[in-house]
Amino acid sequence: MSTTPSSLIIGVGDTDYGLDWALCRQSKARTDSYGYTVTAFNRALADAGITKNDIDGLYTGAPLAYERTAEVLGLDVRWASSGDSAQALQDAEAAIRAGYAECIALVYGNDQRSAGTAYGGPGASYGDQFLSYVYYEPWGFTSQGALYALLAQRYFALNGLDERVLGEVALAQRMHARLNPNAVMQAELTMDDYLASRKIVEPLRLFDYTIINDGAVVLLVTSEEFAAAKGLTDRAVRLKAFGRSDMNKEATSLAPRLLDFYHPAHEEAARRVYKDASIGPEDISALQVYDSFSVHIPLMLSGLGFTDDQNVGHFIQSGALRPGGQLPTNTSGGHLSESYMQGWGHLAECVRQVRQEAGKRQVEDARFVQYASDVAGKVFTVIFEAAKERR
Amino acid sequence: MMITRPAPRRSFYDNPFWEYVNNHQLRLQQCASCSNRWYPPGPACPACNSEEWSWEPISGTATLLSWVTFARTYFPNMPAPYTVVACQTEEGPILLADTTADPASLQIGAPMTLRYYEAMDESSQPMTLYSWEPTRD
Repeated sequence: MSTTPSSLIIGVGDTDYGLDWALCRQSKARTDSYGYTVTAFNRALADAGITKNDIDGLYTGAPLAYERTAEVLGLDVRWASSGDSAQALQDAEAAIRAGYAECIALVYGNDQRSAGTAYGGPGASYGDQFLSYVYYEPWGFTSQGALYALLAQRYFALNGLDERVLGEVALAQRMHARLNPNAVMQAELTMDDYLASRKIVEPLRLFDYTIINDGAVVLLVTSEEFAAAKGLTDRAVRLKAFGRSDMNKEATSLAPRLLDFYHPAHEEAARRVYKDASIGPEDISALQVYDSFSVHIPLMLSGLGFTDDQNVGHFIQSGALRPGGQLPTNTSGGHLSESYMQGWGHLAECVRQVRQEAGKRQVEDARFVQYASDVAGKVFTVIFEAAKERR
Repeated sequence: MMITRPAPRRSFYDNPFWEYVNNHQLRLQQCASCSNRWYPPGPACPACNSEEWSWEPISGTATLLSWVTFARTYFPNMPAPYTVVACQTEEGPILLADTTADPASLQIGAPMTLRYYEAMDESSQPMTLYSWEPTRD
């Protein structure tokens, strides 16, 4: 049975990451999670050219509460659900296919910076869902950064990789960010800057970490029929294929990270997505990778088959990830330099690249754009292409 | 002066684990059906889902998989720097703990040995913790 999706993205909206970052830094946040969501929602509607009366499904991403989100947006829908950015597109596709809804707003809003969400230390967030985030507190082992530092230490030692490999990831993404006026980080970053930056949890440094920020992202997903009836096919973006594979066994004791580097799940997700899309990694114009930490990038590049563990250092250090490189990666700047929107911003960037609407950072002739995340061992990947062939 | 540490999270199955540790014994559950060992403690064998198991001691020797050094202080009672290691026990499960070893001396694959030490939690309740230390010849 084919798992090829058929739904389309007809609109995207987000918030002013740089402006809100500056306001947060002055403790003058302009609104809360719901307020950011309204801004992104209105922009997505305007981008698509529809009204909210066209929306009959709602999907909310953490930390938004569903009922309050629907109340604030003034939406009464006939289908709704909640989940993270790795789950949202599969759920929306399934709901549309089942006929539960025809036009779904996928909304994510987060005031994590102004609200002081703790990603480590006493009362660390998300410990109720991911036991490893809090289980090792008696030894002071806390924060997602520590989990990835532990993984990075072993992966780099076993594969003879140099710290400059992670430095090049940070540099390449900063180059993309400097072409994206909405990215938080606009200053040039050099290898010397990277190497001189302070360690947080060794071996990871400040510039290996995400930019925690307030903001929101909204995606509007519909059926082909809806898009055609509304005359929205020209700019619509197709979900061409999905790949998904989880590694939950021994997750708390970190075996999937430390013994397998999540690679079996990467490989299975890659096998599915490329088979269903009838293309291979060599056909991908641009790649967006969930990058709460820089080390996600080498792991994913190797796991998906763009290179392998022995060659990933050379691949990255060749400049492949940079603007104009062999595989421009995290072309908005990603979590490291644009804004930490927990993967939702990467999805919006895929849409903009496929539409050829990414401004100065546009990847030339971007035909197939891929997103991939491996957060907590749940590997999800999706390939996007234009709904209508360009002349 | 006694060191202060965050108390462990204790699910239903963590309670006996920590009671054994307080007696300087590290025990993991062992499946009565397939002999599998697992960590963290839980209601059943994750390999065969058998609910028949017993708490059995482990040897206390392990292999170093990886380590990190905290340069940032996350807990008020635990000023950085300190080092945490992940070790794979002889019995299979991976156990994290701290170490007193100089991180510059650590090598992946090195043999490590369990050591117990006394601490108290933030409510001044005494508790035993364990660390992994490089095995001496």
